[in-house]
Amino acid sequence: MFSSSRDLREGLHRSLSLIQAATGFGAEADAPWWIAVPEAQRAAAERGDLKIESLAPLFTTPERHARLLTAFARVGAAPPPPAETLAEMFADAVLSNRALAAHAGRDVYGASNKRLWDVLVSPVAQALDATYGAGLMGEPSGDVRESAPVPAVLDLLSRLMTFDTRPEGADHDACAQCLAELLAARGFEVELRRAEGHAPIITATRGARGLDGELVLYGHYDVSPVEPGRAWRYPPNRLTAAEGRLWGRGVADNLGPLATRLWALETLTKAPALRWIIQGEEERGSPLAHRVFPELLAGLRPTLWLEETGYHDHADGTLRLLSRTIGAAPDASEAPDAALERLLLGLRLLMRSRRLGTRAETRGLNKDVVEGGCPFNRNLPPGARYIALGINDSRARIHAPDESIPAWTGGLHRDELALLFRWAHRVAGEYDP
Amino acid sequence: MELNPAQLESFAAAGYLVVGPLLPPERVERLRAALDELWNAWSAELGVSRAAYCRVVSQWTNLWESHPAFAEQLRDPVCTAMAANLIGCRRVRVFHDHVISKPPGQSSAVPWHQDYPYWPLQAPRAVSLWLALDDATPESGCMHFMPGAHREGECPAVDFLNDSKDWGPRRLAVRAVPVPAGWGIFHHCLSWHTTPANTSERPRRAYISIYMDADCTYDPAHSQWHPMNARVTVPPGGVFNDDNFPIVGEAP
Repeated sequence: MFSSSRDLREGLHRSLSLIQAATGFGAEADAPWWIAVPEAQRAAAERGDLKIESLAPLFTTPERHARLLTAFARVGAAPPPPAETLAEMFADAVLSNRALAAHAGRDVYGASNKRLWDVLVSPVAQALDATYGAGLMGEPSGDVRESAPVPAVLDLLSRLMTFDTRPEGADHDACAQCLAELLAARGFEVELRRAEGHAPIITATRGARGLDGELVLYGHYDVSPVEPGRAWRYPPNRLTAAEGRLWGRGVADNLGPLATRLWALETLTKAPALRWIIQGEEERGSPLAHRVFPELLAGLRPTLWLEETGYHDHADGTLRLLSRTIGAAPDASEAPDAALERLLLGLRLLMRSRRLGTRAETRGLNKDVVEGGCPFNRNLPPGARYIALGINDSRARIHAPDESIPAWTGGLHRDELALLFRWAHRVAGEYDP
Repeated sequence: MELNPAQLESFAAAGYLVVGPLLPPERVERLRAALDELWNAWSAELGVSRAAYCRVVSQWTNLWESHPAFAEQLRDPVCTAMAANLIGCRRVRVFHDHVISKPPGQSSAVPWHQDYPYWPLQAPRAVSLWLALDDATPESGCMHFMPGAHREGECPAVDFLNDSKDWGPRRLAVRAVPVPAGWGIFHHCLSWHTTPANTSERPRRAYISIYMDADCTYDPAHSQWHPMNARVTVPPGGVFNDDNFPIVGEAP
């Protein structure tokens, strides 16, 4: 809400962030959370402290104004005025500031600032609220990486880790049954596909809860073996919270992501239709899934396919935005379509609000180590929109000793899911994959 | 000229009082000329035309420090005595003065508000004298009041640029208070007032002096951001410093 020149400056910084997120970077480039400004102004920009005089050219030079038009168009915001008009508005705001400093003269109606607010800040907020839900353009919060783990996630994860779902383990059925109960408690209709000698595949579906669109989520409840003779810092067979991380076999691959999403779905009251497919043999080549998935996935046309997890850089929390549109060949990556680009933009802005950067890549999660490839990825239909998003980071060490996940990503992933849901609702009627 | 009991009673009931003429035409002209002088100097200082300057800048405070004509008006013994009578105090001190200009076609409405929530005063013992330098009409943005609303006490400060308060039936009791140039409107610091945009072809300038009980004390917690706070040199709870907030008059 606009009340003062400070609000205007903060709002203009947010609009610059949008311009950067929407136009400054291609899908393959880095997008640090700070706004793209000349190096000399970077420190002030990071503090949100650029003066109106410095902000003006960032919106009004021909190159900047072209970006502004593109960015506003991409989020569906009302188009801004021509550069000359904007320059005049900025000149009035600058004059107002100078009069205040020189002889306590005030623009008592705030008209010069309000005009800028009305054309450069307010339309963005309205458009983003409509697409991604309220609050995306809020001020960056404190350091999200200091967030404590979510107790409910710890409980769920501890419970899932009690089952021995290593390839040689004997608890796959029991774990699948436990997950089925947890899913049913969250309103899913659950089906277990069983086959002699195989771990069951869980298919859980839930109707829309107030939002259009549909998401298909993928996951697996089996974990990789614990190789004998290789030392672990903490016991691999139970959950340990230490050093700002959660440790144990399966926490990253894939029990932690499962637990986090189970918790998130319990807390998010609005959601589109969901279909969650969870298998139990990924660590031994997915034999049953390779048999079942071609038929299971063939008829599905959701708004989005959500991979089992995704990654942050452990050094600074940068989110790796792995997304793609599936090409004609199995598992082929093509550039995100317009709808997916809008999702990436929303995620970049969400990360900015958490003071995190993003790095987008057109590809899927690396599963080359999986024998025969990942049955989920291999069976995505052409044109499918895919994204890998989740709680892991680059220190996760899946399949190795000292598997762990950062403790802070759980709450953030819930916010990501909330954004995904709002986005799916928004684009469901606009794009038909 | 002193206020009579009926006027005091009217002020107590309505929260505002029209008095006039307070200034002879030549005094009004002197204040206008002083303002012209200042605007010419200030626009030149900023390197812009006076028209451009006055299109954007619309309020100037502490003019009593910038031009002797305003200093003289601020200390006018008739006006200060009336202010002391209306507050019910012996001596009055200036909080600040200001000119608010609504050029034709270049202003907007000021939402309904009380003044006191924005002021760092420990008690609502202050009045404003809104002195018209031009004829003020409903079209040019004259003062409007809700008579008696000040008796309901202080309300949270209004967001001037995002006002959405629904006044309901109170709207029916609104009074537009047009006054000719040289006339004044005293209003209580808890009065609810507004001015619409100037839609006329004429300027609408007003010189406003804010008088407070000289014994009023500084309470920055009541308004932490007010520009005058920077001029206060006494600690919270102290009587305002005489240099920047001088005593300017007293009751008769």
